[in-house]
Amino acid sequence: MTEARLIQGCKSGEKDCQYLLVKQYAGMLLTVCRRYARDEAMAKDILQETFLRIFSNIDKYEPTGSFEAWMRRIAVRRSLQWLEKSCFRQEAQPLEMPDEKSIEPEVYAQIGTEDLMQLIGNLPPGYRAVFNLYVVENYSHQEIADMLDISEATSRSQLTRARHLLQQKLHQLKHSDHYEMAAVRK
Amino acid sequence: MKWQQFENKIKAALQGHQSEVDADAIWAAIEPQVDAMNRRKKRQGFVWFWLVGLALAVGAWGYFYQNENSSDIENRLQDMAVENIATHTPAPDNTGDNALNSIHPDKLNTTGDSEKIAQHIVQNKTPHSRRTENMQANIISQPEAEIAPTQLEIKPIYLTETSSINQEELLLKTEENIFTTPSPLPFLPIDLKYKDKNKQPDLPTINLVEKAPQPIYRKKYFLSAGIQGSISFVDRQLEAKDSNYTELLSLRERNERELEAFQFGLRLTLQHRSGLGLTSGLNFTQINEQYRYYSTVIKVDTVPGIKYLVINLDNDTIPIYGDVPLETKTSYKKEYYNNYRMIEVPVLAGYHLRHRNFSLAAQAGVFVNVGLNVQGKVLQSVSEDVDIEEADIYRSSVGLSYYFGVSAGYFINDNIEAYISPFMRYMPSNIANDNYGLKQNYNLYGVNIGAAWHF
Repeated sequence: MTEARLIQGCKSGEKDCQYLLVKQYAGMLLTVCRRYARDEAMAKDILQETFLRIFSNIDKYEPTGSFEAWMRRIAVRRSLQWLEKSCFRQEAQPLEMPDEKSIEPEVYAQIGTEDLMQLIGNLPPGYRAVFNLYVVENYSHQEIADMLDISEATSRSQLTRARHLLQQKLHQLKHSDHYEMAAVRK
Repeated sequence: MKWQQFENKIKAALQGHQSEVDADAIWAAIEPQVDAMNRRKKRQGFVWFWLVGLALAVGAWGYFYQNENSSDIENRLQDMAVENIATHTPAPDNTGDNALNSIHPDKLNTTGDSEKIAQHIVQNKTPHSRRTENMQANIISQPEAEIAPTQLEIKPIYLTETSSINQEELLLKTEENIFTTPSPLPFLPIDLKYKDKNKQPDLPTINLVEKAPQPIYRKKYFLSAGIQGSISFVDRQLEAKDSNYTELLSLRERNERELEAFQFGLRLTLQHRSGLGLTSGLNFTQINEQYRYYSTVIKVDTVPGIKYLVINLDNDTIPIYGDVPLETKTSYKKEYYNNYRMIEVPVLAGYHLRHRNFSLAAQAGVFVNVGLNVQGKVLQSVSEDVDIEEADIYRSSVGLSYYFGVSAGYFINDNIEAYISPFMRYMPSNIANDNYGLKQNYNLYGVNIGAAWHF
């Protein structure tokens, strides 16, 4: 079934199409939700709400843009609504950018996508959200500030902190058993 | 590796990543809400459908009402004109050529001129001029005593300046006239004069067979009988009576879906001339649903067979017979079509409007259910379904349902009317028995198509 037919079916409330849409995009959208949610259960709850929101708003979707991107945006917004707003408002002192030379190629080569997800998932919720929005979803600091109801400066500082923490975690990972096990797996 | 490159790699990895997820479990969790959403959407669609239908009906009613009023005024005007002509117009003066104003018959020496006049009259006909035309024929025939009573000769009508009188002014004057009769008619849209026989132009003569004047009786009541049928959307509401039945509710909602309803019926309408009418008759409604169930049943039976083998000291294998378990795994898909059939007596009150060949009506009332017959299967527990015809689940009659509809019709001839009528039926009564754990009721939205014979 083509994407256009699937969308048309969902617009006219055909259950088969709605089921197919869930089947086809649940994995991709769960990845988005997991990046923001505290845990797996929360990610699944957000995913359910995301699908309900997609079905109720699908009439508003205009086929000019990518359908996947439209659904991702909904998933991101639902995820952010699930997180407490207060966690984004921790004003932090700007930190220096991570050391340009600190990422060693072999470290990245040994880390799988699930490990990366876990690394990002271990960041505090505010940092995690800003990092995901800026780095993965390509939102600007202005857009992030609007979405999270924070200032642009806060968005920048949270991103810097997130990067710094991530760098530390990568460093720790290099010297941990996990890294060695990952290397063995590879 | 630079940090920026690292971030780009994170982005590429995460954007294309698909987490492992049990999509069926996600779907099962959201399915009831998706169903409710679909139903709500469908209902909203119908609300819009109804609003548009109602707006059109009101608009059309307004338009027809205006036309009725204006045609009434025109008819009254014509009636007054006839009356005044009959009472106040002096007998035709055959020599009264002086009375001819704008177009003098002397000047009409050719057939072409007379045709122009005839054309002029035709062009200036009002939409209700047929009636006027008949009256003119009567008017002209009155003073001509010598004309045979069975035949009328239409004389030429010569238009005067007054024929161009402003329509509004005419109406005002007519209104005045209505209330001041029998004052002399201060205006006449046309001036009727006959030219001297010798000078009459050679105009075409139309011979009409005179019909004996019939008194017009307007009937007080009109009776019509008709048949109609429809296919409608079904909005089913299934509700658990208490929390013990939520699982049953979820089971049934997952495995059943409403399809469509169709109905047909006979209608008898008694309509007062004011437009108010009462409709009754007999109606048959069938609501169709689909019941689908996928299941796997593992059944363990014991059958006689070799229970075990014994090898004796001589190395002989001896089978020991006994009951052995036999596991049978059956996967099946069940699909049934459930029918809910109802016989009903409609009792509807309505208001009917007719303008020329078009009609509009609005009707509201109740359908009295006199019998419910069901056929099909529903789930009673996870793997057990019951035949609803045999199980004591549904009532034998379900009381009242409420109907509202509007209709637009067209009279094909004097007696036969074809019409289309969007309607909604609200059935608040629970069709299930009191001892059943779920409440089940329906709303129907559809369009009736029918034909009626007006006696």
